[in-house]
Amino acid sequence: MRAAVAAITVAALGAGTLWWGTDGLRALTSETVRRLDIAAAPRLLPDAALYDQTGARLHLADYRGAPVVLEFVYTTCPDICLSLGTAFEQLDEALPDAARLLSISFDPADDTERLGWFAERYDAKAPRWRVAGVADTDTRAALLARAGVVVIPDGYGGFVHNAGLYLVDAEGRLTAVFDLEDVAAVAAALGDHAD
Amino acid sequence: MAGALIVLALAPPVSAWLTARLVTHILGQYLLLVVAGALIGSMLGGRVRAAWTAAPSFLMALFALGFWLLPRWIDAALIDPVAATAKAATLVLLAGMPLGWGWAQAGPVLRGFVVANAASMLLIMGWLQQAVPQRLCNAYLIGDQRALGLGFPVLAAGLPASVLLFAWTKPGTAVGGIAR
Repeated sequence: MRAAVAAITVAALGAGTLWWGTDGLRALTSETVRRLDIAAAPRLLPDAALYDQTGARLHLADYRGAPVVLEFVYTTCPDICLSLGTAFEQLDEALPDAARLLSISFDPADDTERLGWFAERYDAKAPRWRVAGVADTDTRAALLARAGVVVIPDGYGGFVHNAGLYLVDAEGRLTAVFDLEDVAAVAAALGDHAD
Repeated sequence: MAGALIVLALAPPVSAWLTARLVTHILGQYLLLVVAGALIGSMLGGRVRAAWTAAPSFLMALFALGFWLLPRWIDAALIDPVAATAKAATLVLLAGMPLGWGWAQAGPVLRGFVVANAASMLLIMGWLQQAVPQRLCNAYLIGDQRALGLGFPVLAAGLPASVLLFAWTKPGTAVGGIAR
């Protein structure tokens, strides 16, 4: 009898802990946790000095006043960033003219020339779609940390990173992260923000 | 011995090396901490007879291990010192010690059940790590995930083999617990 009571008590405590540790069985991975956290409490992104594919200097804060869609890439990425580029290409066609797209490279080696290669591949034209690098190392790290972007070396000179389409509102707050296949959802959410 | 295993698992240079890869994180650091706790639990359990505590102890170890095998908490323990401390403490106290204690209290049927279940769960987890196309942990490469997917079946085979070997070589000790 006491074995059964003890087992039930342990099971109840264990199940409760797992329930807490998975946000009610909704989040088993840190990627899901990140998305739920951002949706529940939008994060103000730090301002960052940027340089784009044309060599122009600008700031992330310059985008405040209207919503913008971000993605984080590196220009020599052989796989996931190509899919991100394609997703932005689709958004470029689907979104109204006033909408803005910003591909931010986290690779410090991505200079204006390399940003230009990436832009050329997708016919990205500023100011509609900027492909930008972050000028300062500390700011780049702060921006990635705030957005929850984890970049790790892949052992072959490239990087592995969590990918997504990031919706930033007119106040500069990151409000949602979408799968890169969810282009329609991004377009719909951007429409909601613009209203 | 248990203290040495804990120091080995958590000493900064070794810990950094172990946690650099998913497979060494789980099958190295986790295993060292759990075995350390199991040694303590087995020693304590060998002094007291409380057979009714065996099943609840195994259940506690199952939940503690299940929690720290969730990808989000594997990631969290790498970047959050509080999570890292909680991981080390609970793997010793709530996973390893109950395993050692429960093993000392359990009879042969329950022991066999636990080993068979642990081996089958390890096989399933190994298959999952191989089959899931996405990276489950943000901090590790997909190749690390696949390596862990190979490591789990090795552990699944090694666990019953080591129990049988121990029982064969020390039949009177009931594998570190109370002689029955």
